[in-house]
Amino acid sequence: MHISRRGFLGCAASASAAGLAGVAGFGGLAAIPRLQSECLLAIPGPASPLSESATGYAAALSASRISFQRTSSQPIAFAPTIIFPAAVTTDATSLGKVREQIEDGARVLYESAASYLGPQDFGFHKRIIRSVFGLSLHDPVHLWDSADSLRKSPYVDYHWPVVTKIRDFSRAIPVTPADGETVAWLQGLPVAAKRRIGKGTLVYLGSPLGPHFLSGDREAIRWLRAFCAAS
Amino acid sequence: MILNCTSEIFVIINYVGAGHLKKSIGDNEIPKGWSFDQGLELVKKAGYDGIELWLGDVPWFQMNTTDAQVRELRRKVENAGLVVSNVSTGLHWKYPLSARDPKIREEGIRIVRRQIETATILGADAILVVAGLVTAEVPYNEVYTRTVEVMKTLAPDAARAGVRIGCENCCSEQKFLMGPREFLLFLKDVNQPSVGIHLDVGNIHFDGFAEQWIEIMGPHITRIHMKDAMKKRGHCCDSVYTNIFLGDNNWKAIRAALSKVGYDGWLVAEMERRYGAAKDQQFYDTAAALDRVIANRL
Repeated sequence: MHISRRGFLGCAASASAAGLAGVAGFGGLAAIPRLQSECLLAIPGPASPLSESATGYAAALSASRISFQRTSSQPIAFAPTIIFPAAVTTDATSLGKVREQIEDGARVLYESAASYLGPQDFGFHKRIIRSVFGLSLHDPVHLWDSADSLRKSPYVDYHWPVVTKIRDFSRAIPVTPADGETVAWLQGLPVAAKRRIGKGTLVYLGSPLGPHFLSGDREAIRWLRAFCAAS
Repeated sequence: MILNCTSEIFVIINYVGAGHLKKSIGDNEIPKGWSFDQGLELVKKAGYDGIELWLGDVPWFQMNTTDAQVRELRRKVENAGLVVSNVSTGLHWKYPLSARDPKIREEGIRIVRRQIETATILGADAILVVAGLVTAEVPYNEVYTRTVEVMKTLAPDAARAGVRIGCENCCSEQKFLMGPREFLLFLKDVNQPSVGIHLDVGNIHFDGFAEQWIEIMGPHITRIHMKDAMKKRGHCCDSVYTNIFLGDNNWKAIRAALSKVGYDGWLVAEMERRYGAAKDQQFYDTAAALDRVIANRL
């Protein structure tokens, strides 16, 4: 893994989430050095079914001493790193703007909460993601509904930016990139994809991580730190 | 002789120190097929002071029961010479406040808010909730964090209504807050006076000792559920729970702990296993058992 030494433009840390740093499990991260980064956290709109995810990202970034700014403005301003927690985009125009940011060199983490949408909205989301990002989504898998759920591993295996295991979040969207790589697997399903678009990188997460930050999952927080540090 | 006198003095001190403990029993204990009015008559005759109403568990008190109908329930309770001790619900087993799915969680929150509203209408100042449910799917840390947040959200509503939310210790069933110090830490993390514990002295069974929970929880106790537990049961087919005095709870210790912490509120009976015949007799027997606990004649 390459660790970036890029120094970004001065970016005021958003301290508003600092109060969340005391949630379960974050205590052990106190010794983490401050990372030089410029990161935008796009606060999801009211349509997002997992608003707690954004709270989790804010808490994990604060606890990891990664400077970031929250934004809810549209279109999103350019930043080297942009995180979309619990995203459920069904608007092609706004997603097209995100693609432009990636083409200009942004690294975008797009965490999908679309598995919690109804079938019709998920259909819109699926088509837009394919047309704008070139990713093929499959119907959400409900991981705990079958009789043999208790005999399966509840962990997603991530292979990038670090190799680690993080719990599932009950539902997952299998995703296959037209050209790119699968970076996480769950019970044999590809659930996260990374692909280069122009000068930048898109990472699509089909299994939400945000709520795990909120409950202090150390491996999830390590994954986020590695993502923010990776080139 | 001196020892006997001393012992009796202690009994008197303990009894006086505990104030006026009152007896209640759940309306979900009313035999199937009986009406609410018949149940109230039995509860009063058996000597209880109040009744615990279970939202969603009985036909007369559901989520769609209107305010006017709830007022009618209160009228019936008061006409029977009783009061409502508290409003409980088992609906959070289906709609956990810790659910991942926001729609399920929202329904759980709506249930608590309805409990608070109806408690106000019924003249009660306490509700029972099962707060948080750990499963193979939704792990402990996640449940803990989410439940603390939900309780912080609901606490101001309860405080405004003058109602305390009692989170019940269903330790083994919830797989959550298994010990008294852990439960206390949870309450401290919530840090809201309107949120406490609805302590069930039967739910502790092989995980600890009820009297120790009482001592540690002290002023955080909103209500107490009274039943017994047979510690050797519970691993297979027979319920661990049983009627008061039939199990392994140390009732002398429980009574002393109640005096020690100055608990003088409601003792709410739960009868896990029902009489096969003469079903009304179980109400009388349970009331008599509660009387013995209150009088410290154990």
